[in-house]
Amino acid sequence: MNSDDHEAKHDDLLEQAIAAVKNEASASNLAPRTVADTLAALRKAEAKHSPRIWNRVIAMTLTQKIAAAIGLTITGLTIYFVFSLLGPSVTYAQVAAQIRAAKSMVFDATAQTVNSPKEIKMHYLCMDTGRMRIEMPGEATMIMDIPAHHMLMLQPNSKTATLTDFSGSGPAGSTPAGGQQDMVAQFKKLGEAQGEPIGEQMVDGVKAKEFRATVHGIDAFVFADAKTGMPLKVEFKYFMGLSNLTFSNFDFDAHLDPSQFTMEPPAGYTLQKQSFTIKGDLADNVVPLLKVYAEHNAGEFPPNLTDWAGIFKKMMGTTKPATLSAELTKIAPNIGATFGLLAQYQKGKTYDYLPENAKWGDADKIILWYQPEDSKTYKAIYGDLHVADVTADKLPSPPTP
Amino acid sequence: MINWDLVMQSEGPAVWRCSRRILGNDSDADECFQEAFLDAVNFSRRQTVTNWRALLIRLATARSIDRLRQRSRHERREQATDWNQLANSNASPPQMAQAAELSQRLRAALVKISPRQAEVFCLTCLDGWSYAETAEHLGISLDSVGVTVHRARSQLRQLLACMNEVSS
Repeated sequence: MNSDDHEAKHDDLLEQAIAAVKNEASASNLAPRTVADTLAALRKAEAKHSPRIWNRVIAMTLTQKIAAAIGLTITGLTIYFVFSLLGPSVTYAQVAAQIRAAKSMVFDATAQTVNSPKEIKMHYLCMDTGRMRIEMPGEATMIMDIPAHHMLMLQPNSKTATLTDFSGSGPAGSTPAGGQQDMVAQFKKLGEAQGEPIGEQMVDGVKAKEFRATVHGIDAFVFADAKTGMPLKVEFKYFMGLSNLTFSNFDFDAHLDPSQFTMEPPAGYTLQKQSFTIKGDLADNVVPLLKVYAEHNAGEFPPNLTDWAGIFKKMMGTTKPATLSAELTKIAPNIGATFGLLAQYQKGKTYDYLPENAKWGDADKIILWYQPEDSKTYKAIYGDLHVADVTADKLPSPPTP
Repeated sequence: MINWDLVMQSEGPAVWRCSRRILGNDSDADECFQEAFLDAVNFSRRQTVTNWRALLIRLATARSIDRLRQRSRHERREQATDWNQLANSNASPPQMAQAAELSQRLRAALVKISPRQAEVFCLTCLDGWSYAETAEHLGISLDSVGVTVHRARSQLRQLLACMNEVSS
């Protein structure tokens, strides 16, 4: 038999297989029970997104809407860096086995600030290709394509789409500034090592095992289904100025439509473009934040650098929202990166913030110092916001061992 | 508000058949069918749907291919695929057994090509979508559809031939 005969034979085999599959399917039909179950599931899914939250959102003031949109950028960037902390140190092998195969991840995030009982709710969709979509119902949606170094913010109320290009942060495909490229892969690490079992409790009607782990001084509580080991909820307590940050309603391996991650704005949106360089060094991010804050607050620096909600509220309250919106939007990535990066240091040990030690313009007084990883000296930020390398004996507050 | 009863009535059977064709069993098809509709709920929150059938079939196809791959991984863990066993798991009459065997082999081959190729192949060759329809609903060019189908068919031909040689 020559090669043409072989090819014809194989083509015939494929056609026969296609025909076999088509004919086979005609033997079965959609069952009424499946229809009923699916309709019930559809109604449940629609009820889950009841219009009450939308009504509340519509009732928000303009200032609140601007705050929510910028807050979303800050939170997104914060969490981008926070995921860097989820190293192999949190929970247990059974959970890891369940999530290791995940190619995508969908979950809800609820954040509550220390000074306000109001909850901020977000819906996350993450793919293992480094793409992420964060939806704040009715307010704004942020789409990140980390390998491509692009971020798109959609604001449905004003029909504006802001495309941020942070390609200056490194070559395409690289991970900017020490953050993590792939949220799914990072989350998988939650299961790679030890967690301390602390009991059992019910989570949304499911019996769950609870584990506690401390990552860089932050307590993380992981709740996993007692039967299957599937993570049900992850909580961070008193973290980054939040009283509570909870990830829940996980759906691993959900089918995510690539169109949800497109950087093309929807029809009818006005596109605005900006570029930004994400830098991994704390000083590069905290200095712009301190500068803008001081400019709007009579030369004073923020009393607490980890209370992002407090900083934000103060800045929103002192200037007309329209003016501050643009300014805050510009530095929002810096704010997000600051909170994310700061979480990697331990106060008093590897960093300290001393706003009372200097006033804006003081060139010889340190307001913030930190020790970069693998460095024997310290970076110090002075009152006039210049940065210098110093030895431990020059620090206003000696680092604790 | 979407009238899901109406959508279900008009599009449900075609969507279910699409999943059933790819998966080859009713229970998996039921699950992917439901997942495709739930995906459609999310999709419809973001944008207006003008062609429910196309959207649901596309979602069901993607879900079914994912399921086929998961099933294959699971089966690999349980036991390595035995082509001889497939060839011998015949029932009477012989033509039915041969057709069943061919269907199984095509499904086994589909998990070995890329998910995108499998998706485009299923839509065009099993569901009968035109290249233009496929291009429109997947948001890719007509040329890209043609190339993907060509590559998918070529790889599937080779995989089927290999399986044939192993079992003979």
